[in-house]
Amino acid sequence: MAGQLVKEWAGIQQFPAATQEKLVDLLAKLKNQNVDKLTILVMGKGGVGKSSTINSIIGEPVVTVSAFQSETPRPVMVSRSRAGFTMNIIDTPGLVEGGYVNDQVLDSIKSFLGRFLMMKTIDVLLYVDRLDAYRVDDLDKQVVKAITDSFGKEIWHKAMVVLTHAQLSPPDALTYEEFFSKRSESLLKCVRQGARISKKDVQNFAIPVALVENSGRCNKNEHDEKILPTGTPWIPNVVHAITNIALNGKGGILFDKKLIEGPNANDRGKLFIPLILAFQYFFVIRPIQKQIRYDVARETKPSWA
Amino acid sequence: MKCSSQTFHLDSAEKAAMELEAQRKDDLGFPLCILVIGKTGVGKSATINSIFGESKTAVNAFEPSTTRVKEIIGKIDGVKVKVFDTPGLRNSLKDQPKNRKILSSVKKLMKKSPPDVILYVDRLDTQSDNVNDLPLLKLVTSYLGSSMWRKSILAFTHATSVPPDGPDGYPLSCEVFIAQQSEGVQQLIRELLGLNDDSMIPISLVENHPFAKKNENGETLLHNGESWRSNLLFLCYSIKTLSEVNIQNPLEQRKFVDLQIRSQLPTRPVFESHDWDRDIDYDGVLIEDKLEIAGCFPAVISVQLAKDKRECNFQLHSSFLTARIMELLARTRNFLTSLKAKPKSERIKQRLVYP
Repeated sequence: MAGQLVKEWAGIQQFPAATQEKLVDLLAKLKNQNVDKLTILVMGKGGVGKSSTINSIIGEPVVTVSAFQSETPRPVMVSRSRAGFTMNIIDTPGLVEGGYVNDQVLDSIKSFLGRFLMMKTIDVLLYVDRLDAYRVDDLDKQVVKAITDSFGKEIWHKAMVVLTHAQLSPPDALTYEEFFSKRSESLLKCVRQGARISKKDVQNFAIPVALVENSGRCNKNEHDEKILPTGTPWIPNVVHAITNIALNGKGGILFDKKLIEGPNANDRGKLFIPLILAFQYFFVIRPIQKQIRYDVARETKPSWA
Repeated sequence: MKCSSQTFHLDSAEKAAMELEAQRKDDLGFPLCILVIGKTGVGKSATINSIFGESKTAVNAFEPSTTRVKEIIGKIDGVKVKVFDTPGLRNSLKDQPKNRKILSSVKKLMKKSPPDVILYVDRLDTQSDNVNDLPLLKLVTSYLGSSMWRKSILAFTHATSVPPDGPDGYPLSCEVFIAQQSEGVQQLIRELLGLNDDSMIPISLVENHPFAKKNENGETLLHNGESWRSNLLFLCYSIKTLSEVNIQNPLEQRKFVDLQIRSQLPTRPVFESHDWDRDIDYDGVLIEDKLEIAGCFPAVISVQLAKDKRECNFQLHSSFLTARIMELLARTRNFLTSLKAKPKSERIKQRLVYP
């Protein structure tokens, strides 16, 4: 985004001192590894809390959130910089509408990225869902599949799952840890299926899961930091997970023309063409020619000749 | 114009109820049959368990625990109640064949033993993308018939969940939150049925979490201090009563019944008595009575019936929902049926006598 003045990450000031400290440490860690820019893409179904999570991390209400308007209408990029480090976070509309994945939304996301991120990388993908949604169904798999088809399987090397509404009272007499573990496991299983990650490959695709509580009534610890029911301050926790992914050695997803246009439909099955031609020649043309020669040889003189 | 008046003694109904209870007659002859449908994971089985006060059917947060339609029979306060638990419906297009299978077995069941009330269950706290539900609601309506909504209640579970923050950063009030969430589903159903007025399907709030606040009777309370279970049961019985009287003219546009329920805490009894009738012309009839249940719990029941019999309001001010009230409703039903038999041009003056 050449020539555009990136805003200062003022929101970091309104975090409690303990959180600010941890965040500054994490930014320093990134700078040590010569990472001075992070581009984070936030995707998921509608109404799960993508925009709220972004607002919480940035520390100010940059993206409009309404509990009743169904979702963000179009992709939005928010950029903030601090001490030479720039963070770009991209908020997207929910991918599901009326029982299936909305291709128009996907296209709008891709063209948005094409405009602002051409020849740049996506460093981290946040796949957002709710902790208090009990079931994982085919729709979730389709969302994952759509993301995989658009950005390639490699995006899951740079992805993490974010579960919102973390401050919940678990059902069925489960402890919080039990509930969280079951929920993340079933969601991760769904991600692996949707992204076609084979069982052997699972170790390569270690997708971390982080918990988030965006409401104003989130419990706080003695340092005034927002905490999860387990006691962990969640904002530094999420940023820490993001940092780990950024530094995990795998390259980001380069956004180039090929990615936007998607696989060339004409390329599909190109390999089959010579095989089919050979098959046709040997099994169809040759026998027919043989049969014609045979018929010609057997032909008696016509009665009018 | 002919004029006739009639007196109706609710106290005799109460006496009859007391006698029945004294005889310990097991079945008061007013059985209730409820069909529970809804998406998967919203709390249908949990709600059924809460209604009966015991674990009658399995629940599981992570996997569908109800895999086929189940008939659950029990007694609530001496009244026989039969509930049909159904497998949850799914939102994704791929699962439509499964949905159709479920709905066709429900349809068969409804033909065999038609339910008095249909509970459409959904979560109060996950309505933000409820436009996704329209295809599902369409499918349900096409299988079970659009008349199903006339005897339906929208049951919203997780009702004591904390409302989200509003645009000003402060949490929304519970009333606003509940109104907005439920209005979403109401609008979808109106759209489905082609109604452009603001008719509403009765709503019931449900809270099945074991740690939710309870009163001294062990009943789970909503944010406003009311016991949701009593409200729901009363709603069910009212709907059954009204449908038996068949007040609504099926040929005309449906008008949903407006049911208001208010219950009082035992420490604040309400005593209201007023006879109401108009001499010149009348818009409707108000039947009201107050009574004492078990000699100590006050209750006021009023039924307001519009002149064209197209609208009916039931009101119960009570801190106690017992079988006696069910019996009262049965008597009211009989009375209303007798009302219907009279031609509309007659002026009817109804009065109640309280001993």
